[in-house]
Amino acid sequence: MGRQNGKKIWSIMALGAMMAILLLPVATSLNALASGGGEAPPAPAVKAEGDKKDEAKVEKGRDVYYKTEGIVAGAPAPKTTDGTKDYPRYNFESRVLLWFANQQHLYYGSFVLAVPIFCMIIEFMGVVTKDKAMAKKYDQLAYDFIKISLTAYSLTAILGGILIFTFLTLYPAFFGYLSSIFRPVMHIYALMFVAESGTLYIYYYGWDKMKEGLLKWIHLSMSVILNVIGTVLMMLANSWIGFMMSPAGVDEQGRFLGNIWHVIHTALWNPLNVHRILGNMAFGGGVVAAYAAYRFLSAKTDEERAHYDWMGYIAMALAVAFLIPLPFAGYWLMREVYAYRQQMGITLMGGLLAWLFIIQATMIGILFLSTNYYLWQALGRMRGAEKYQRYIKYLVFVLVVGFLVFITPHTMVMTPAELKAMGGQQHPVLGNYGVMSAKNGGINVIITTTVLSFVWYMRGNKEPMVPWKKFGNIFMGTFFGLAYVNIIWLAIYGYYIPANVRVGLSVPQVATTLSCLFFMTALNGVMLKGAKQMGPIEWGKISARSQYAIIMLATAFTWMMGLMGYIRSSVRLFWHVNEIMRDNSPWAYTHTVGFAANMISFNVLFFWVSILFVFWLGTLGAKKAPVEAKAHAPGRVPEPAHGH
Amino acid sequence: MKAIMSAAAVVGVIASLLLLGMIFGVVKADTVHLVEGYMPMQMIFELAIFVAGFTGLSYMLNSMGMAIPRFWQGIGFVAFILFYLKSRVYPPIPFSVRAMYGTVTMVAVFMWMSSNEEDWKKFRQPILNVMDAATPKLKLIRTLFLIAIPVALWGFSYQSFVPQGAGADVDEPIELRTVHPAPPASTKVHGKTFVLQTSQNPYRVNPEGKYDQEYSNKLIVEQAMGRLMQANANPWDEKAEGYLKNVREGGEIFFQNCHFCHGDNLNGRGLHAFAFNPIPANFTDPGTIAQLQETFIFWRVSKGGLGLPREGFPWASVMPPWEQHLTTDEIWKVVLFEYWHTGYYPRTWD
Amino acid sequence: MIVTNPLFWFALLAIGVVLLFVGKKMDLLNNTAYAAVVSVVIVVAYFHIVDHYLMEMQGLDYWYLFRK
Repeated sequence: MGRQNGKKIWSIMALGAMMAILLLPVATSLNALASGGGEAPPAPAVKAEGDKKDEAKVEKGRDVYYKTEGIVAGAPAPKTTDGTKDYPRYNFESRVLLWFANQQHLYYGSFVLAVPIFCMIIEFMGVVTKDKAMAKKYDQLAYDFIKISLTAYSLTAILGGILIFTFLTLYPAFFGYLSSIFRPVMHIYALMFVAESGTLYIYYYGWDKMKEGLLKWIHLSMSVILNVIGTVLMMLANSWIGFMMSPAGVDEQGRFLGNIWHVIHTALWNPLNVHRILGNMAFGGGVVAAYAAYRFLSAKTDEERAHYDWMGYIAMALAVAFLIPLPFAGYWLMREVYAYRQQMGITLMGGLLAWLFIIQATMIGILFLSTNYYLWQALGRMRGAEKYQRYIKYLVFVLVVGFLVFITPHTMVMTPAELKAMGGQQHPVLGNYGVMSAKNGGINVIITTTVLSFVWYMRGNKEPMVPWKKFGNIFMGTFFGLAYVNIIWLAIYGYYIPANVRVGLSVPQVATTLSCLFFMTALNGVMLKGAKQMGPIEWGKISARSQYAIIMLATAFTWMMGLMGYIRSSVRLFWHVNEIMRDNSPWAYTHTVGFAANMISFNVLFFWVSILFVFWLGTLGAKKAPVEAKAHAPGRVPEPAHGH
Repeated sequence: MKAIMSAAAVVGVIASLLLLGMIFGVVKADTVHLVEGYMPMQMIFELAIFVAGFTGLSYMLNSMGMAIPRFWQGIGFVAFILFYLKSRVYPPIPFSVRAMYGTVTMVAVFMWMSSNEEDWKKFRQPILNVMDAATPKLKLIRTLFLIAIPVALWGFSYQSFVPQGAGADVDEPIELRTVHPAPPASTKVHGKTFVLQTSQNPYRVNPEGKYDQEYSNKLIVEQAMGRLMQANANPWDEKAEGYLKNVREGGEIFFQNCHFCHGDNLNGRGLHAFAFNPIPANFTDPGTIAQLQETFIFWRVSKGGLGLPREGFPWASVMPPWEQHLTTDEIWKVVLFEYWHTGYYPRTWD
Repeated sequence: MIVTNPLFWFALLAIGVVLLFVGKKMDLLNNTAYAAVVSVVIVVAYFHIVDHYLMEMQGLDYWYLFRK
C-alpha cells in the first residue's frame, strides 16, 4: 500500500515537473507581457513624476474599445497605398492565395486540435470501463485516432509556414503592423507549438510503454496537458483575428498602448474561442467518421467492417454531440457582433452577406438530414428495429417541412419578370417563412426530430421490461408531440407580438428542444434498464448508404467551415483591421457569392484529397497486423483502396 | 387501424379531387382559399393532409391487392409536390425557390425510399430492370431513354438561350439584392449628427413629453385583430394631443409626399409603384420596418437611394434623399406615422 | 385571466403528479386513456411553465397577447 502511495506521489510530482517545464515559456514571458512586450515602461510611481516633468514627451492615447488611457508604445497603423511596395503581387489576386493558405492551415489545425480531445475522452472511457474487452477496444480506438492526427500534425506545421510566407511576401505592410503589436504573443505561440509537439510525441510513442496501472493514468493526464496547450494555442491565434475584427488596446491611429491583454481580449475573442472549440470538435469528429467510412467501404473482411462501423459510429456521435451546442455559441457570437457594431451585424445578417447565411442554413439542414439518415440506416444493423422503420416516412415529412421553412429565403432570387408577377420582393405566403420566428421554429423541429430518431435508435433492438412501460411510452409520445406543438405555436405566436418580445421566444423554443434532448433520452435510458434484448447490434451490417451519409456529413462540415470563415473574414469589408487599418489593395471589394462558393469548394476539395493521402499513409503503417491475423485467408490480404 | 386508414384514404381522395377541380376550373378556384395571415401554416397543414391521405390510399390499395409499386409512389409524390407548388400557391413562386423545394423533395423521397433495405430494393428494381434490359420491352424503354436524355438536355440548353417572356425580349439577369443595407454608425441630417444606435424619435412621447415606447405601443393600430383603431386613440380627433397629434402630422406629410409610391395602405403599391423595379418597400410586410430600428428608417428616408452604402452597390433604389425636401422633424413624424399605421413596433435592442 | 398566472400551471403540474401516483397505487397506469390524460396534464403544464419563466427571465412577458 505504502509503495503504491509512494509511486503515486512520484508520478504526480513528475507530472507537475513536466507541466512546469512546458509552461515555463509562458511564465517567463508573463513579466514581459504585463509590461507591454519587453519595453518596460517606467514604474507607476516614477511615471507619475515623469508625467509632471516632461508631459510633452510622453504621448497618451485612448483605447478605441476599452476607452482607457495608455502611453503610446507603438507606431500608428501604416497607411498603405496601392502599389508593389505595400502589396507585392503576382498577376492575380494575392487575397485568393492567402485565402487558400489560411483555409488549409485552419482545416488541418482544427483537425489536430480536435482529435486529441477525442483521444482524451475515448482513452478515459477505456480506463474507467469495467468491461475488459471494451476497454481494450476503446484504447485501440484512441490510438487509431492519434495515429491519424500525427501526420496531419506535421502538415499543419508546414501549412502554417506557408501561410506566414504568404503573408510576409504578399502583405508585408499589414503583417508588419500585426506582428509589431502581437510580437510577444507570437513568440509565446511558437514556444507553445514546441511544447505541443513534445507532448504529442511523448503521448503517442509512450502509448505502449504506459499502458498499465498508474502509468496509464499519467498517460491520460498527459492528454489533458496536450489539450490545454492546444486550446491555448488556438486561443492565441484567435486573438489575432479577434483583433482584426474588433480591435482593442490601440488608439484611433492604431498605436499600441502598452497593454497586451487588451489587445488579446477584444470584444469578440471569447465568443470566437467558444465557437471555434465547438466547431473544431464537430469538424474533427466528422473527419474521423469520414475516415472510418472510407475504411469501411474499402474493407475486405467482416472484422474490419465491424470495427470501422463502430469507429464511425463513435466519431459521428461525438461530432453530433458538439454540433448541437454549436448554434448557441454562434448565437452568442452574433450577439456580441451586434453589440460591438450594429452595422457589422446587419452587414452579416441582413445586408451584403445575408445570401451566404441562406447557404449556411441549407448546410446546417443537410447536416441534420444526414445525421438522421445515418441513424435510420443504423436501425438496419439491429434485430427488432423493423417496427420503427415503418414510421420513418413520417419523420422524413416533419424533418423536411422544418428544413424547407428553415431554408426559405426572405428575399428570393428571381428574374424581374417573376418579381412583377409576384408584385413585390416578399412572397405573401413563403415570405413569412423567411423571418427569424419561422426559422427558429424550423430548426427546432429539425433538432427535436433528430432527438426522436436517436431515441428510436437507442431502443432499436430492445424491448423495455419495466412495469410502467406502457405509461412510459405514452408519456414519451405525448412529450414529443406537445414539444412539437409548443415549438410551432411559439413560431406562429412570434408574428403577433412586437419584435423585442419576439426575440425572447427563441429561448423557450430552445428550452423545449433541450427538454426533449435531456428528459427523453434520460427517461429512455431508465426505461431500457434491464430491457429484453431482441438481438445484438450487428456491427458491420450497416448499409453502404449510411457510410456515404457520413462522408456527406463530413463534407458539409468542411464546406460550412469554409463558408463561415469567409463570412467572418469578409465582414470587415475594406479594412485589414476594422476601422484602424484600411485595405488599399485593388482587392478590397467583397467577392461575388458565386466566386466565394467556388473558392470554398476548391478548398474543400483540396482538403479532402490531401487528407485522403494522410489516411492512406495511415493504412501503410497498420498493414502488418491484419495480414498476420488473416493469414489463413489466402488472397484476401487487405490492401488500401486505390482510386482516390 | 383499418378505420383510421380508410378515413385517411377518403380524405386523400377528396383533397386530391378538390385540388384538381380548383386548378382546372371544375369547381370555383377559391373553394378552399388561402386565408390571409394564416397562409404559411395553412400550406403546411394542407401538405400534411395530403401526406396522410396518400398514406391511407396506399394502405387501402395495398390491402385490396392493388398496391402501387414503391418506385411509382416515389415518382408520384415528387410530381405531386411540384404540381402543388406550381398551381396551388398564388402569387407564383419564383423558379429558384421552386427548384429548391423540388430538390429537397427529391432528397426526402430518396430518404424515404432507402430508409430500409427492403424498400430500397423494391425502389431500385425497376431502374435496374431497365438498365439490364432482359426483355424486348425493357430494351425498347432503355433505347428510348438513351435517345430522350440527350434530347431533353439539348432542349433545356436551347430553352435557356431563347429569349423568354411575352414580348420575347431578353430577360434581365437575376439580381441578388439585399433588403437591409448596413447603416452607418451615425448620419448627419441638416447639420445635426444622429448616432443610429442611441438616437430616439423625439415625437414618440408620453403625455409628460418623455420618450416612451411602451406608451406609444399601446396606442397604435392593433395589428393582430383586423387592424382596429384603439378606442380613444384616434389621431384625427380634433382634441388629440402629444403622440397622436404627431402621428396625424406625420400622416399628412406621408400623404403629401410618400404615398404616391408606397401606397395609401403603406403596402408599397402606390400610384407609381409599378413603374419601378423593384417596387417600393412594403411596410406592412413583417420583414421590413418591423425588423428595423426607428433610426434606421430615419436614415433611409433622409438619405434615400443615393445615400446607400457603397459596398452593396448596385442598390436599385430611386427614393429621393428626403432631407432635401423635409425638415428633420417632419422625417421623424413620418417614421412615427409609418409604425403607427402598420401596427408594428420599432425594433429595440434589449 | 387565470391561465396567465404561473401558479395555475404549477397547480396543474401538481395535479398531474398526484394523478400519476394515484394511478401507480391503483394500477391504472397501464390503462391507455388514463395514462394519456396524466401525460397530457403534466406535459402541458410543464411547457407552459417553461414558456412563462424563460420569458420572464429575459424581462419579457409571455402572455403579451392575452393580457390585452
